[in-house]
Amino acid sequence: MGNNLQKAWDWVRKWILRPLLSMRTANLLMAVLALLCGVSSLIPQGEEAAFYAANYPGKSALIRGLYLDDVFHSWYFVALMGLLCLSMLLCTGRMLVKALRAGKNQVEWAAALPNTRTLRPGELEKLRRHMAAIRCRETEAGESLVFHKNGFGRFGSFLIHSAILLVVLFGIGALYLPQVQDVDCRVGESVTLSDGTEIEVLSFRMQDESGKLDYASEIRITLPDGQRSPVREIKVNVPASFGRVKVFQWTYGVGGAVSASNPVTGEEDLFELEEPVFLSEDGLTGVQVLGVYEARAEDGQDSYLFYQVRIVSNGTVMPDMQVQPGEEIRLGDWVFRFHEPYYPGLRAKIMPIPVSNSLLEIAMLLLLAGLFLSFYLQPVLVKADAEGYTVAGPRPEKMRLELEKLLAEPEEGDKA
Amino acid sequence: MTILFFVSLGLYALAFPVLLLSALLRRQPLKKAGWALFVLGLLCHLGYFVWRGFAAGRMPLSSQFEFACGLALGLALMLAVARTRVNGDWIAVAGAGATALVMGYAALQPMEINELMPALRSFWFSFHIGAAVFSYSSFLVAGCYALRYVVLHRRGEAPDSRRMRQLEYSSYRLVALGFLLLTAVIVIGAIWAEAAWSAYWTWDPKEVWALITWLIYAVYFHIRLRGQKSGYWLCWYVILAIPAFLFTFAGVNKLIPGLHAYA
Ligand code: HEM
Repeated sequence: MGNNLQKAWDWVRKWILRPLLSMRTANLLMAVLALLCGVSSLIPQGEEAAFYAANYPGKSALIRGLYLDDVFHSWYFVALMGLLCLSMLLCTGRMLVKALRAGKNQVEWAAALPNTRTLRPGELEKLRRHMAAIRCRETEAGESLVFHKNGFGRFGSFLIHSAILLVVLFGIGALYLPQVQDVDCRVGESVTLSDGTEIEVLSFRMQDESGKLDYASEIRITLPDGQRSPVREIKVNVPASFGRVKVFQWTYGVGGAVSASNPVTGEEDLFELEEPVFLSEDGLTGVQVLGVYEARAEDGQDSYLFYQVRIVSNGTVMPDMQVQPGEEIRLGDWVFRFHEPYYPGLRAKIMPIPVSNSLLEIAMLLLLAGLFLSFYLQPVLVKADAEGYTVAGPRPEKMRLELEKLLAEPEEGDKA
Repeated sequence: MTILFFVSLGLYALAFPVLLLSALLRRQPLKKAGWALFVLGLLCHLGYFVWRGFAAGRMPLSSQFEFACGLALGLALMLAVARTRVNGDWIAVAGAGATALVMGYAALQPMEINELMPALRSFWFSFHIGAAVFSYSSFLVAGCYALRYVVLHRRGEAPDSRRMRQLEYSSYRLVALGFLLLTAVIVIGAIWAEAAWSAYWTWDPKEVWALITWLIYAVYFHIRLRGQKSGYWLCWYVILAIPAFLFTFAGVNKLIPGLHAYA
C-alpha cells in the first residue's frame, strides 16, 4: 500500500507538479494564450451564426465548431487560463518559501561565499565608499564585510504573482457576479430594480455649463430596506454608488418620444424612439422619424434639439424636415405629437458585496507595487575582503556591472 | 503654430543622417551638430505639444495624430535622458531615426483639434494615455539598445564584454520600465472602463492587444530569468516584440473596430 502511495506521489510529482512549477510551462501557456487572443481579433467575436455564414462562406461551421466566434468563453481558453493560474499558485508558494529562507542568515551566508573578483590595494576602500554612497548597510562578518540593502525586494516576485492571482480571482467576480440591469426612466419618474432598489430620476441634462455635450442625471437611490441616498449627480465616467448598487449614466445618445393619437377613434400610443421608425397605420402614409439631433442656434452659442422627420403620403416620400419638441403633425385622422427629448438610459449594477470593486482595485495596486519592488528595489548583497569581492543575491547583474565599472580601468567599449 | 510640428519633424529628420554620419566617421563636431539638431527638434516639439494642449484645453493625447506626436515626444525625451546615462552614439542614431519615423506617421494623420467626447473627459485620461506613451517609448528605446547589441555581436564582439552586458542589461531595464508602465496603462484603463462602461474588462480589441503585448513581455522576463538564452537571443526578442505594441498603438485602431476606435 505504502509503495503504491509512493508511486502515485512520484507520478504526481513528475507529471503534474514539476511541469506546473516550471517556467517553461508558464511561458508556453502564456504564449498560447497570447496567440489565441490574437486569433480572436482576426474574427469578430460574439456575432450571430448568420453573420459568420454570410462573411465566412464555407468556414462558418469550422469557426463555430472551434469556438473561434467566442474564444474567451471557449472551454480550451478557460482551461488554459485555469492551468496558468494553478501553475502561478504553485510557483507563488515556492517563491514565498524561497524569499523567506533567503532572508535568514543572509549576511553569514554571503560572508562564506568565495570571491569572484579580485581587489587591488586601495580598492576595498573605494568599494566601501561607493556602497556607503548608495546607502548600503555594512556588516562585519569575520574577515569579511557584507554590504546589503533592499532586503524586502526579494518579495517582489511573490507580490507580482500573488497579485495577478488576486486580480484574476476578483476580476472574475467583478465580471460575472454583479447583476446588471439597463433601465429607461423619464425625468420625474422612478424605476424599481429586481432586488427592490428604487431609482428616481430628478433631472437630466445633455450639456454642461459651457455648452459642451455632457450627459448627466440627478438621481436618488432607495434601497430595499428603505435607506435613501442624498440626491446624486451621475455623468458619463462618474457613476454613483449607494450600498451594493452602482448607477451609471448609460446610453450616450438622445432619446425621443412621439405619441400618435386618433381623435376619431380615441386610440393613442406612445413610441419611445431609440432608432429610426416609420409610424404608419397602413404602411403607405405616415411619419418616418429619423432621429433626434442637436443643432447650434443662429447666435452660435446655444444649441437646441430637433426631430428629423420625413412625411410619407401614399408611398410618396416628402423632403426631410425639422420638427421642434412640442410641435404636432396632423396626417389624415392621426395627430403625431413630438415630446421633449429625454435621456433615460441608466445602468444599475448590484454588487455581491459593497467592497467587491475595491478588492479588485487593491489587487491591481499590489501588482504595480510588486513590479516596482521587483524592478527598482532589487536586493543588494555584496561580500568583500582585502583580496576580492563577490556579488550575491537573486538579481546580482546591476551591482556586478556597477562595481566592475567602478573598479575597472575604462574599457574601450564604454561608449556603446 | 502647426509649423512648429513640421519644423521639429524636419529637425529630427535632419538629425538622423547627421548622427549616422558622425557615428560612421567618428567625428565629434558632426555628433555635436546632430545632437544640436535633435535637441532643437525636441524643443520645437515640446513647444508645439504645450501649445496644442492649451488650444485644446486638455492633454493633447486623444487622436491618432496626438498620440503619435506624444509618442515621438516621449521617445525623444527618453533618448535625451538615456544619452546622459549611456553615451551611445549608435543608440542615438536608431532613436533619432525612430523619432523621425513616428513623427512622419503623425504627419500623415488628420491634425484637427477635436472636442473630447464625454466618455474621454475623465480624470484618468491623461494618466492612462500618458503612461502608454512612455511605456511604448521605453520599449522602443529598449529596441535601440538591443539593435546595437545585435550589430556588435555580428561584428564579433564577445558577449561577456562589459559593453555587451551593459547593453543587454540596459535593454532589459527599459523593457522593465515599459512593462511597469504598460501594467499601469491596463490597470488605469480597467478602472476607467468600469466608471465609463460599467465593466473592468470587455475583451475590446485594444484591451486584447494590450494583454497580448503584456504577455509577450512577461514571457521575455521569464526566459531571461531562466538564464538559458544568450544575450543575442534576448536582444532579438526585444526587437521582434516591437511590432506587437506598435500594433496595439496604431494597428488596432486602423484595422479592428471596437470601443477604442475613436482614440
Ligand atoms: C500572467 C502571468 C505572469 C506574469 C505577468 C509574470 C511576470 C513576472 C515578472 C514581471 C517577473 C519578474 C521578472 C524580473 O524581475 O526580471 C516574474 C518572475 C518570475 N516568475 Fe512570473 N509571471 C507570470 C506567470 C508565472 C507563472 C505561471 C510562473 C510559474 C512557473 C512564474 C514564475 C516566475 C518565477 C519563478 C519568477 C522568478 C522569481 C524570482 O526569482 O524572484 N510566473 N514573473
